[in-house]
Amino acid sequence: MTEHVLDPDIWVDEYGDAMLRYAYSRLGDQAKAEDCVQEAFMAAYKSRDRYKGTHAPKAWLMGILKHKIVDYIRKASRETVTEDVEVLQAYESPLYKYSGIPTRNPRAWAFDPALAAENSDFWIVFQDCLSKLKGVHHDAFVLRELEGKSTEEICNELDVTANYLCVLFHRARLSLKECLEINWLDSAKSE
Amino acid sequence: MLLTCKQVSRALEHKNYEDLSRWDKIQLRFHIAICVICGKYNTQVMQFQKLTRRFRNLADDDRIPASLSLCEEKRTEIKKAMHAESDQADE
Repeated sequence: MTEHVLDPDIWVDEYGDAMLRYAYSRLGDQAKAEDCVQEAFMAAYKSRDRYKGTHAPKAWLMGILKHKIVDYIRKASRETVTEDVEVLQAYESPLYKYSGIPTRNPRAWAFDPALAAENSDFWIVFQDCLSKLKGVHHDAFVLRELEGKSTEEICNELDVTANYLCVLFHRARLSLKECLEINWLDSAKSE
Repeated sequence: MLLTCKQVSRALEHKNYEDLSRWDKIQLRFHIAICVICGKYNTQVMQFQKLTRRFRNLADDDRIPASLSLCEEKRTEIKKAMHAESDQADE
């Protein structure tokens, strides 16, 4: 006897929202997240014979969704990777060449990140700022920090060199920090 | 045993600080504590890694506004597409 019924209508109603939220947390864009969810549902439905009913359907669907998201990021970046002038400059700087650090004196945090992390509202701001990261910076950061991919995998998927990737991470952190500082301090003030 | 700035930066670019071995962590912290060149920079990298690690471990509900959900049109569209797929398979 199968515990879980394979009914597309029930799937979409039961798990659609959770899947969308997961996809959104990785892609930072609702339309893209919806596309991925749809692709995942279609792929799941096509291979429904392989679903044995031993796992909860949600876990199975989420597994498929994860693959679709990484695929999506890879495809999107194949089309859009253009060498960023600012990244190239940092990458060419003598300091970076010899020490591997893109800047010697980063600006100090405008708020205490450890303290902010204790506040649940902070994470909504964090997600928001993460979504605002641009193109390849966003993709590199998400693949590394959220999907836990190795440097080699990310380089392959985004088609960039390991050095260039390091500078991309650096740039991603810089923009994220700037955005967090503006938005987190703003929301703290308005309270 | 002494690491160079480059090794420290590279180690943090390749791995989250939390995933390093205990020995690597000790060496890294030692370098960062005394280094005037990369200390500040890598301290921030580590702070970032702490934040993102925590962010990753949050449930989706804690970081995404509750209002985000699959809209009715999209739901219907997905269901239709799946039904179309199964009709095709039946033929």
